[in-house]
Amino acid sequence: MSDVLLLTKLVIARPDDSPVDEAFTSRVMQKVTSQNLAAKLPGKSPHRGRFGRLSFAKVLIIAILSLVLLGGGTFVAAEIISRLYPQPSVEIEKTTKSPSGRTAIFFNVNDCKIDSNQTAYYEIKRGSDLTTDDVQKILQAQCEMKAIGEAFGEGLMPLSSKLPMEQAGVYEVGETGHMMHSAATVASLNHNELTYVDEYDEQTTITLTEKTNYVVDGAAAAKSDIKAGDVITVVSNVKMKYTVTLKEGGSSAQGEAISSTPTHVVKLSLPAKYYRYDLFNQLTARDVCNANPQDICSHGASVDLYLKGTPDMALGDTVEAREISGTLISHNGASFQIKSSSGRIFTVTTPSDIITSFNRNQSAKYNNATVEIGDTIQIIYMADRNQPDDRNLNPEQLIHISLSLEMLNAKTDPIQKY
Amino acid sequence: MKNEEQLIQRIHHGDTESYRPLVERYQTGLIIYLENIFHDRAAAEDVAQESFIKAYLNIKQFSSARGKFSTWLYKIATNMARDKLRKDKRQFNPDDLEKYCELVTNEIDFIEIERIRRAVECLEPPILAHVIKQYFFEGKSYTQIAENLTLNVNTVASHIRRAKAKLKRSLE
Repeated sequence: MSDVLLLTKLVIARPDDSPVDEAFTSRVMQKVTSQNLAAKLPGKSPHRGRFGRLSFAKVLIIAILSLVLLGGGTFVAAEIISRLYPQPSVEIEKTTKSPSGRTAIFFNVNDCKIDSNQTAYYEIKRGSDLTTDDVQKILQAQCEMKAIGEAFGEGLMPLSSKLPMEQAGVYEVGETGHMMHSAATVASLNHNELTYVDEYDEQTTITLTEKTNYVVDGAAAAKSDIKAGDVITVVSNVKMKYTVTLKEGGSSAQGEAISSTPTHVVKLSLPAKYYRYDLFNQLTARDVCNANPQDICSHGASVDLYLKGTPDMALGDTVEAREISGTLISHNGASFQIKSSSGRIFTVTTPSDIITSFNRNQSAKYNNATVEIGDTIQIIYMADRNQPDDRNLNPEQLIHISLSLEMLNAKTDPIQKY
Repeated sequence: MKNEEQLIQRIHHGDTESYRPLVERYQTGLIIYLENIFHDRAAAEDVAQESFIKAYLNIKQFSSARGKFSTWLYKIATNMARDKLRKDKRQFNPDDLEKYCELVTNEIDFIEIERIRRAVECLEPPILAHVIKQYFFEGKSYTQIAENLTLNVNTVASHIRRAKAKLKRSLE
């Protein structure tokens, strides 16, 4: 089968209820509903239809009246238009304790590119000393950075994603794209140079050009509006040269910047520390479990306890895939129980004693972690659509069982259980 | 979703909002199709957006009696892709583009669709199913998938390559 045929089949097999890129849809719909396009659409000219039979004088009177009536709204409209990217709002809805004892915070978010839902749920990882107020600001900072990237960096596609990573061989390719620096504090600014200090106390000087834009409070500003001490981010147009090497089991790309031109210097709304990604990484995003909407599941790091390649049941009109996550409350040979976030108890029967087997044979590979009562277990299984509350899972239903893990700052941190 | 014929009739009568379900339905496939031509996600999204707008502007010329909306949309996108490749002075074979377009707009029966979905669900390890679903079904870019799964973009590319190889074997 050719690559193209496989691609075609996968595209056609996309389920109708799959998520869509709402930003893309909005962009298209905004264009097609704009007055210019509506007027171009054959057979649809609303203005001519409404005013076509009126005399010029009457049209002029209507136009003047409209300006007078709409006058009050003009300022508001101008203010909205002057913002160059949406101002995200992140508000704490409630704070609680998760079943695993961590601080759990529910947020109402708007205009945030990191979470498409209006409600977000995060847990503070064990070992972190962040407060709920910190978490609200960290999320707001992430939302703001994402909005700036979308607005000025064309989504900030990493340059290496444009490389043909699947072609064997060693070669070089030049690409131009955008890059956004992390938040930094302005140390000095003169007519054509800006020096900033980043979170690692590293000092960088960039050369400003006539084409560099300045943004303050989300709106276009002048260079004189940026001052020493301001927290900023810089979006640059960068030309890179990459060397791509394909190796057994993967590929790697080494890149070096040939040139970098700052296109936007953007003043940020929060103190610099809230933009640090290592702080954002001290949070775990939680989400509603697939096909178990009353429960919250973790989609973070995990280690396999059981994995079945081919499920015994086929997906279809009567069978669906579900996920559930919960705390291990009992274990007896090939059977164990978990308690989900909603308090439901699931009894799981596995083909063999997978927990004892992991503890005996696999633990050494994972920092000597063993599966114990109180640990968080994630399960993916097949279930009959007609039994939405099926809590007795038998071996034929099971696809994947895993133990949740947690790493505080980075993938290189020692593995520990969630 | 209402059937496409009804939606297109409504658009013909000036109901712009009826175009939204068509954009939602075909955006993922069209962007992937164009990404495969340009090897550049940003360019693919730009041309997909322009194709949807052009299709809307010319929708009076389209009639469901003459074929599927998707076939017409992909032809518009293919023409725009050809123009861009010429403008960017990139080498390509126009016949290959035509054949690719024909292939993409082919019908696949329901049983085959179920077989493909099942093959995706059964990919091992499950991370391969996750990346394939996010890329082909949810329309996420490699970068977005990398962010969602806390992976390196190169690792995502590697997972997709492995998953495609496994799917080819299981679907043959």
